Amino acid sequence: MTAQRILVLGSYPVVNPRHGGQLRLSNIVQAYRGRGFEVRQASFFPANPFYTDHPLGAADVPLPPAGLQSWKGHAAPLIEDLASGEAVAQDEARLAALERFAGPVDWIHLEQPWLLPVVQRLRERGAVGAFRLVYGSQNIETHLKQAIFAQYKVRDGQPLLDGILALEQQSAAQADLVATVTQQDRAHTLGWTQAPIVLAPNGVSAWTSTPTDRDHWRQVLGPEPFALYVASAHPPNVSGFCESFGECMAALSPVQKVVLAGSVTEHILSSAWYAHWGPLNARRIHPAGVLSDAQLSALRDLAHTFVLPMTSGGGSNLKTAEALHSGRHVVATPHAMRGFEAMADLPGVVVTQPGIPFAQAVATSLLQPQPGADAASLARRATLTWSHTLAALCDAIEAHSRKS
Amino acid sequence: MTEPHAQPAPLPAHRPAIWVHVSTLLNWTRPPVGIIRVEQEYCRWLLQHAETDGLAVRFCEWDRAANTFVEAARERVQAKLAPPAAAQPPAAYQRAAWKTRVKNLLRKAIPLLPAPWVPRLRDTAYRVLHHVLVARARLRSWMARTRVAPDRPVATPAPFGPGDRLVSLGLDWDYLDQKVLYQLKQRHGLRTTLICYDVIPALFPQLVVLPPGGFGAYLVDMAWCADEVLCISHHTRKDCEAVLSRLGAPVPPMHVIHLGSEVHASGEPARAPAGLAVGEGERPFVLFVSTIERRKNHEILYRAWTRLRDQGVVPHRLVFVGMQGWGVTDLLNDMRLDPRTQSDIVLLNHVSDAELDWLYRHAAFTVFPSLYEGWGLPLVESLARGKFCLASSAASLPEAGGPHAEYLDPWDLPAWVDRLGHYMAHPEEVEARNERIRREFRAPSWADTARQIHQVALAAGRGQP
Repeated sequence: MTAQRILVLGSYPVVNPRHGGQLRLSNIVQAYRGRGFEVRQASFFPANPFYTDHPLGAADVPLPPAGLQSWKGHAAPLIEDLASGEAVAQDEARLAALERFAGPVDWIHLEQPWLLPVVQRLRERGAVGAFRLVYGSQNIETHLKQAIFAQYKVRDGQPLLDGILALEQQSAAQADLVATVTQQDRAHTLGWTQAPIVLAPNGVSAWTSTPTDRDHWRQVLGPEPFALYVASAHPPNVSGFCESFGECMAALSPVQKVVLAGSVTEHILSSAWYAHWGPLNARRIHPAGVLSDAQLSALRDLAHTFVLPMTSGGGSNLKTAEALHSGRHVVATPHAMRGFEAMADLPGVVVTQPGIPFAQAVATSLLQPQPGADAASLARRATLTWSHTLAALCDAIEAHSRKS
Repeated sequence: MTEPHAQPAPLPAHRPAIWVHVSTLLNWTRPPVGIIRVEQEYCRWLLQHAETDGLAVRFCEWDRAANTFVEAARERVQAKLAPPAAAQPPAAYQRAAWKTRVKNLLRKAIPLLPAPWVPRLRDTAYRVLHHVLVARARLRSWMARTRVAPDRPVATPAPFGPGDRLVSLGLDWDYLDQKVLYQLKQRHGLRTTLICYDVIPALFPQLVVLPPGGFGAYLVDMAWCADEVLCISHHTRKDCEAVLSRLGAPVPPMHVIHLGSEVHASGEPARAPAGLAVGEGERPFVLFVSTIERRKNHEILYRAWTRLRDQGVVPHRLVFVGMQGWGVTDLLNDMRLDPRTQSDIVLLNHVSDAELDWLYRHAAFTVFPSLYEGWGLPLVESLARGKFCLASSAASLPEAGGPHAEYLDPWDLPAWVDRLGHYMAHPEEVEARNERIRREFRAPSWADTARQIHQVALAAGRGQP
């Protein structure tokens, strides 16, 4: 069997990945390459500094945000992802450039449904050959967008939600293979497709930190054990934290704290939730903000407890995999454990409802010694790495290719 | 033969102590308010009684520079327990009198200004004044937190030891880093007794000047630091427990103490205040002693008086005694301009004890329509002076006044109009109530308050190893 040629289409760059979607896409590309597939990767995304201030890949295309504010005549905020598919599909020059970059391919991996119009146009034009389609679902996008619209009080969003649902259903229906990250998403997608659906949960990459970086954080944070929340500015990450700790951070003692890392930090600090009990929250929250990988790794290695305060959003949480892999205390909402339910009985893992029970579980964990690391737990944690979680997807492509 | 090595003298055994945190008392320079009175009375009582419990009595204050407690000399505390010299009016009164003169001058100047200017100037002035008041409150709070007492002792941390107890009854939100107290408690096993006077900023943030976050931090950290919490009413205890539960903080054991309110003769003969007309032809008056601020609900009384006037009733006069606080600028303006009540409502400020004594003696009855109180000292003081009070049914007030006052929903205007009119028209009924109050009501004494505090402090942390 000759090496399978795969074009991976994404909605964000994979060079220097930082948020969860980027990390997943980056690891999919690496996993495919690890199996000997010939991989080309191209992404189309709004040209905001979060992406464009960093190195981009050869086929990464920043799109002018002004052209992404409406979809089929419906204007709304926060729909750049939805609008980008139509924008690129209608741009003959960009399609031609993409075809030149990809060359003939056996597969297109469509990560998230946004670029389905591009896939359809490539199929019509025929320049890249008769390819098979993998639809990589990260979550049920309609539900997620609905929650975001509600959070940001977006009115008249129903036509857009209908459009997203149609896009998801068509992506699954037109695919030869579907990958979902949780069993729940798999069950949800079953009705949309005849194609095989493989479970490819989010995974974790090993991290290491230096003594210098760890000393730095010990000096900054002091000797008391602390909890760590690492997240991007994705709106459910903000609302999840605020909802999970209840009205404020009162359940933590005066010497306990949660360290916020990642771009979620500034959004929590500027939220009405934080401001209402500002001084109280300020005593129990340390805002570390966006950090380098090295600094973040040091914080992860020093954290006594990882908190996973998700209350909405689909898919599985990359940070859940990292937290479970750490072997430290983990306090998670049931929602944050989506896709990792089987790991809920690992030593030190507490799954509890958002609100005061969650906050009190964090406080209690900070008083306890670290959970023991028995061989069985270590073996189970090892299955959380990307190489394990994406194996079924690579196996399915190989099997499909052999069959064809 | 060599001399045997001298054995080091054994360290003296630690004698358990009861420490009283007196930063608020030592830094207080104005006439005592309720919180200061609680500190004073407990210290006074403790110096007389506590040694009999086998505990040493020691005092400590917060040292900002060292960020810890230091021991405070007993003499400094005793100096703060002496009654203030009666002849010297407090400096704050003198400053306030100066402000009143300026206000009066401005009032006289207003008619001389072009009419269109007046509302604009007035609005601007009130807006500026509001910002100044807010800024002043913040500045005072900051200064209290950062000020170092001029006679600050050398910063040797207070030598807390096993079995020691700490009682703190003052403005701990200004004079204490509770994170440090929490750490000291963990390190030394201090058994702490703290106090909750009310939870108003948490329940009614709209009724206080500053946002609730700072108070919330204090309240929650108090709950984390305290082995026992004193509350000044059952209602405050219930609300405090509810707020802490709601926020997810621990709820330590809470104990209700009642503040003393016995009336002592001022030593001066009672005399009528200068701002109130007295004499044969003057109408009786109803008395309301309280800072004039939104929470105290002067508004319902103003509205009730306008209704009485609209009904053709010639009501008693209404005397407000208290300084102007926050959020009443429009109300005071309405009262000043409303022709129906101009001759009815009298505002008195900077009233001396002798004048207050006269007002209580000559008032037809008193009123207290507050929207929320942690206890309700003015109501109890009215009863202690044998004077019937028509009070709000909110929060702790029914608990404070018991069967001796009558209670109305603070926002039920028709009820206030009805009952005020009734008691104005039936002085014999008021007198019968006064007679019963004089016969049956016993004001709690400060000695009892101190004794209750001490019993809780002795029991603090009983379950600890």
